[in-house]
Amino acid sequence: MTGTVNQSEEQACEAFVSWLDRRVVAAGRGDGLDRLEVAPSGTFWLGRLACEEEVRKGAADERSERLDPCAIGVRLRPAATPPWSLSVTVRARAWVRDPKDGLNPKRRWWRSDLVEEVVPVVVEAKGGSFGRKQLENAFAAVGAPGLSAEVRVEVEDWHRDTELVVQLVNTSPEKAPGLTDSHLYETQLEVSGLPTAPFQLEALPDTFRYNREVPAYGVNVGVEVLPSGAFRTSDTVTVQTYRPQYWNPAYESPDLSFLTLADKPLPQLAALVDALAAYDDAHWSSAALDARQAAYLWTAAMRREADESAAKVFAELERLRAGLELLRSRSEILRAFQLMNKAIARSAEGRGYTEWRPFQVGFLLSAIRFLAEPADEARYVDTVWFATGGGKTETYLGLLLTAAFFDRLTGKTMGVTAWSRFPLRLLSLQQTQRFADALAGAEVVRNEEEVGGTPFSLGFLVGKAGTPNKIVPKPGEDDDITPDSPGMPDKYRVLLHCPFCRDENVKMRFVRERWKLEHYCTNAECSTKGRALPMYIVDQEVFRFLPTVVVGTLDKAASIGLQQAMRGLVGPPQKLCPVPWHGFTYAERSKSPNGCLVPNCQGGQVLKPLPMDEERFAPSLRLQDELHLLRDSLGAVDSHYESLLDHLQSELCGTRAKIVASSATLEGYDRQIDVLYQRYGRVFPEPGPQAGESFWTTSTGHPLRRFVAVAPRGVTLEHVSDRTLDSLQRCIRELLDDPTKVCAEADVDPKHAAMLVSLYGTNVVYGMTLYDVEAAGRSLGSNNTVGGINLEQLTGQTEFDDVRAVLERLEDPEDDFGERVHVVAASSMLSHGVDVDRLNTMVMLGMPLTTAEFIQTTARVGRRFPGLVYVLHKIGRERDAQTFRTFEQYVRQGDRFVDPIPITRRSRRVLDLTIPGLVNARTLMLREPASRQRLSTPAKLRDYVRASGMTPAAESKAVAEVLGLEGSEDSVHCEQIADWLQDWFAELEDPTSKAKYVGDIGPRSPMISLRDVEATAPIHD
Amino acid sequence: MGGVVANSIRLAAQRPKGGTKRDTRALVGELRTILSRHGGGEAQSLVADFTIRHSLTHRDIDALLIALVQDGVTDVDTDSVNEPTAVGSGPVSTAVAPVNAAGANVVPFRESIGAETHTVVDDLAWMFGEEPEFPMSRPADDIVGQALDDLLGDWSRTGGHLTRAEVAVLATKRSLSSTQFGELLVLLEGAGVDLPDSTDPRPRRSAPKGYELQEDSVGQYLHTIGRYPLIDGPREVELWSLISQGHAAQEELEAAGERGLTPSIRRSLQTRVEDGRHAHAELVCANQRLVVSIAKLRQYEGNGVEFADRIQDGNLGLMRAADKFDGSKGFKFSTYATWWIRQSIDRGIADRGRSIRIPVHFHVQVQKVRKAVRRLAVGLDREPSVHEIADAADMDPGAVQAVLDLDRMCLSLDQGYGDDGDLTLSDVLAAEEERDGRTDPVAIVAHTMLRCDLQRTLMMLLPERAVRVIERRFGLGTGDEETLEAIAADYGVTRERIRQIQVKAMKTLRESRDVAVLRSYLADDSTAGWTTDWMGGRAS
Repeated sequence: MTGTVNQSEEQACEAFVSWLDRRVVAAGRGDGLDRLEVAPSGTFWLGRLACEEEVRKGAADERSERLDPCAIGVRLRPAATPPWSLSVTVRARAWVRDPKDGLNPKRRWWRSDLVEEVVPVVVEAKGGSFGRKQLENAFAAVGAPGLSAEVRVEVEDWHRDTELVVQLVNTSPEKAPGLTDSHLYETQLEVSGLPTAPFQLEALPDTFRYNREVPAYGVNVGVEVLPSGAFRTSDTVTVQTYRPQYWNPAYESPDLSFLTLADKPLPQLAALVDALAAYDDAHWSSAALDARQAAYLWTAAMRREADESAAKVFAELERLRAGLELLRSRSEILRAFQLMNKAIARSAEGRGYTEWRPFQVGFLLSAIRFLAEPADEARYVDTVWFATGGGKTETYLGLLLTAAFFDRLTGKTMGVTAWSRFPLRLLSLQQTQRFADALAGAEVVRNEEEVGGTPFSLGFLVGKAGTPNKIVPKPGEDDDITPDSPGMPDKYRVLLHCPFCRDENVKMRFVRERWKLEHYCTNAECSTKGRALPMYIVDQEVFRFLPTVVVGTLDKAASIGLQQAMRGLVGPPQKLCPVPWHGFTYAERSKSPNGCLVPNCQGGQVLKPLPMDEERFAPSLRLQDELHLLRDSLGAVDSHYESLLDHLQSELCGTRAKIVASSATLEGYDRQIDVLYQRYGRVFPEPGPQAGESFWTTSTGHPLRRFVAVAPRGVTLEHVSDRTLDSLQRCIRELLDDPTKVCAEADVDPKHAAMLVSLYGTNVVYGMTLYDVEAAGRSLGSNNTVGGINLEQLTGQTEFDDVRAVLERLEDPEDDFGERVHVVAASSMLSHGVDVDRLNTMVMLGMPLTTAEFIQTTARVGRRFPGLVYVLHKIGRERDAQTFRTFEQYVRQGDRFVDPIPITRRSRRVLDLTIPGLVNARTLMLREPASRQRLSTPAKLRDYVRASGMTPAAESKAVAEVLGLEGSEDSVHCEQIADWLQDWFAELEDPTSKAKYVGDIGPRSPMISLRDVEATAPIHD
Repeated sequence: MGGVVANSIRLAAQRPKGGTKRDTRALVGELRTILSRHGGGEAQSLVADFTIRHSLTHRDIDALLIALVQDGVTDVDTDSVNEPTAVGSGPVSTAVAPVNAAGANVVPFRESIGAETHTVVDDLAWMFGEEPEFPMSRPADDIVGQALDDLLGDWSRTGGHLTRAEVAVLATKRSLSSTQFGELLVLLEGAGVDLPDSTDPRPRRSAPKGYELQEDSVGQYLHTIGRYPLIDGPREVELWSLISQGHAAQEELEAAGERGLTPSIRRSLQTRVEDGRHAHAELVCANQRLVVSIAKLRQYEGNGVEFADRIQDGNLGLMRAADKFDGSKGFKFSTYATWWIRQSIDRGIADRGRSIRIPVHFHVQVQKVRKAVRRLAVGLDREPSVHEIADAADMDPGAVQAVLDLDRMCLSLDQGYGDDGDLTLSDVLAAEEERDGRTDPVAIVAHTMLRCDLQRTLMMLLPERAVRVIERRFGLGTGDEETLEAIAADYGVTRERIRQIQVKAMKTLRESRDVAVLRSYLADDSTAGWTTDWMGGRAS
């Protein structure tokens, strides 16, 4: 017991987490219980051993044995030759059922005293069994006659080195007179007295960065190495990770606070670059590498690898230097950087952080060159690779705001500076809010500094399920949204609080005169004074007002082949409506006769010319979040659409947008980027010379997350998850009811009790599939000993405003614990961008399919306080079993387990899907504006095609060029494009064609969503 | 409510009004400049722009046009005087456009018209965040004020196209009470919004010439209703709103009685009632074709109600549906109305489909029994018994019998009876004094049958002259036996010749087997005996 005087919050959390873990493990093992009314074999999931006979009799495969094993053990590599002599300590208990008229007829099961026997073992190369009689007697002595066990030592020598497997096997008969339960409980094995050599982790390739040594492997259990050098089995495998710090303490840290950088950035930045140069020199120079090669016995291949890394590291240093030089020499870049810092300082006010982490500034410096040399820098995709929770979003925002200010300072007074895209539904409201906050800060600064141009604003471009594509005056088709539709306008509130004043009373209104769906702040003190917040959430408003930053889902790229107003996101709109607040206009359509997207616009046919150079309308930046998710078919489809976006922008404005991405995996990123964007990949920061350490981050002693791997035995995964959650909830309620007792038990200063209830009172249960999540939710409702557990679900199916409500409840919990959300059942929807500091305990149902998902998901807990993650392995699965065996390495070297991204742009099936979008987009975005007439119907397009002399050959060549399918290996693809266009031209000329719009022409219509890849099952034929 | 009024006044002030408050002369001058300097399509769009800039309503434009025509001649001088200043202000306005990179490219008409205070900077002020402060939003419970804001927004966005129907829809959707709706209308009027009545229950297409002459009345009717345009879902909701507002206004009027309302409120309510009636008429007229399509269904044929009458019944149902329709539910009116129309046609058939009216509830039972009989007859291939019907229809056998009795066919009194058709039902069943002396219908029938059979037998067996002779000799049909003498005289032959004919005829008759049919008449004189024999015959 350490004293709890002056215990810090973190220490209290750490102690409390250990206590929680002890309690859960105790619940799983049955520690401390004397009697039970139900059979222990149906209750406990840890420490138990089935009898060998039963396991053999069942299906004698390895899989079922893992589900309810009859042995635990340790695999060792002896350092010496046989005979080996070792001392094995066995601990176990039994549960015995009284007869019906026993002492306690309601609770007939009782637990025996602990059996603890030391079995001396001397074994030859053949192996053998030991201590059976000794253990049988010991069991009989504690009141469980009939049970028996033995220590079995097997010698395996088919590996390169001889290995010993020391096991405790339950050899009890399955049924014997007087024997009520053949299981052993609370088993433990301890091996001492044997000198061993470590294993080399064979699952991972040898590399200079990682230590692959493993002292011993557990069999069905984890193994701890005791200080004495003995090996002891543990029922769970616990791995504690530590919070990184974002600076290497060996160097003097520059002042990177926002305000300093807003004021006098250059000296601090120079100090940063100098420190990096010094570090790189110390760790990556040839001399340093020579020394380490000698010390760690690197092979030549490892050294080669290290040299390559060193080259990249020095290239990175050069980029930072170049960035610094630009800030020195180009005053408008410096000004933009300063203004950005001022804006970020403003948006971070009251959030508890006032400065950059060095790597964030490092990235900004390394990327800033794209402002000066956009064409050259556009050849590279800069991938941000930070540990999750490292402040990726802030880094983006820094870059975005710098670019936005730079645009304003150099004459781009309006239009989109950056289009930021998130895969699928992973764009969270919290992330959107952060964008809005940063832009609001920038807007205030813009006003103060009189930068000029239109106000900074944010567009929210997501699918119809989130926000409306358009709002129509009268309901026509079923799903059209009118100003009076149910839930309008409150349903579409996106902002959680006012980005200007942080007041939570943000309301929605629909202004009919301007035809705008507006957020506004009701706080009388707010500087917006009730005006609309600069936030556009209806697609058409985004097109009308072209906000500075557009955040949206990846999917929306598909609209480029369908919606002509998407032109505003790759190039200039057509004109400006003379009526104030109607905004930019696009091609004329029957519903928008003058091209203005406001219904019943009375602006007339005379429109205003664009108030800015057309070529500057294209965005300078495209952001791609979670790049690693662009894989398989989605990646293939997106690669074509990315090419299309580039093509359109280059045709319309002659520029190429800079692409910045973030990824959770580096495995094969350069190939992925080549496929997706046809550009070179570049990553920041380059990994350090050793795992877990680099110039930018070093490890500290502060606990981050405690991962606990659980291999449930004999019961279902759902049961274990329910019991785990149940125990966690019970612990919290005990803390509430009797703080003094619990605090003493957990070694926590009672003054922290309230904080602990808040931080650990809400558990997350995470499932890979929707089915898992729902099942978890349902079974928890019926399988608990604690009443009144409030459960909420967060999955892809959860409605937009429900998500918002749940997040609000989590962020700002009810005062009464009983009314709070106690358990959140979540799917992958949670694993991106949900940042709630109160979520600190998680139960994972099985290993996620990809390591990236594991890393992302577990990062949701313990963001600021020590977290606790139970990883319940679906131990029957080969992959989970493998992970359980090397769980520690899996957690610590997780990055290396990530698979390379499978992706290609040469899928003919995908090509088939994307050609229509490409052709149609070219019609809508390029031909139609150039022709100065409507090309909305096949007839008009036909006339145009005839007049302009378009040919299938020329068009298919153009499409192939867009997709970069020009090599000799692409001839099939070119042929496919040509065939498709032949059909397209044929249908265009076909008087019997049923096509109503240009998009209907051809064998297939443009994709509506980038996810429309899976073939639909034909019902007929 | 004070706040609302103040607000609306302020809003009204924000939107400069044409006509009364403005200097009409300046506007006229501007308009004339546009028209004189540009021609055709260009002028049209410029005028449209002009209308927007000054937020002119149609009324204002009409007034302006009148003014333009009236002082077109006299004002030429002032106009030309105005022009130089106008041109002069052009460059100034472009010069103060620092943000506008394309400043030189300002829309031409601004330079030519000029007189406006608008500059390019002003026009784009909204983009650069320099728009006037937005009024603080109304409190959540000020639903009238919110509705007003929304409607004014629509009104100004659409250039003054706002109908009473649209106002009613909004009011109904927001569940405004009748009083609140009244307030809203007052406020709108106060803000200068002119609400045209958009309902139009009259047919849109005119009738083709001379069509009346070509068809029957049903055809004419079908032609007439075909001239009413069909309406779409949103329009139905508009009409529903007007109708329900009309109902509410009606109720309010009735509740207030003769006193208790100011004349202006009373007038407003009456207008709304009238609007509601118009809307009701339009909704009904637009759906008359639905009634026809239902009324012509096969299931209604042969039920005793003519097609035209079924249409009429259906129309009554349609009107009722229009009264009770609830547009907020999101269904098409036709979905709802179909049920009322069918109900109404069914009720009409139940009421008037038979000569003797039976109560509707009994009609339902008749239908039930009929259905059971039909089903059983097909299944059994014979007429079902009363008990079988009772089982099938789940009714009491007694009730089934009663239904069957009631359900027997009605016959016309004038219906021909007997084989020749000279006997009608009224001969048998009519009042006693009209029956020729005989009291017993059976006797009458028997006698008639005897006469028919006798006549037919004679005609079959004998030449015509012999038939005549026999008839006259025995007084058949007349009861008046004539002498040979008299008959001979008529035919101009001897008495003996007549006697020979008679003898021969009697012989033929006696020998013929065909006479046997007549024998039954002889065998029985009395009613009872005849009946018994008939019964006996049946039995054997």
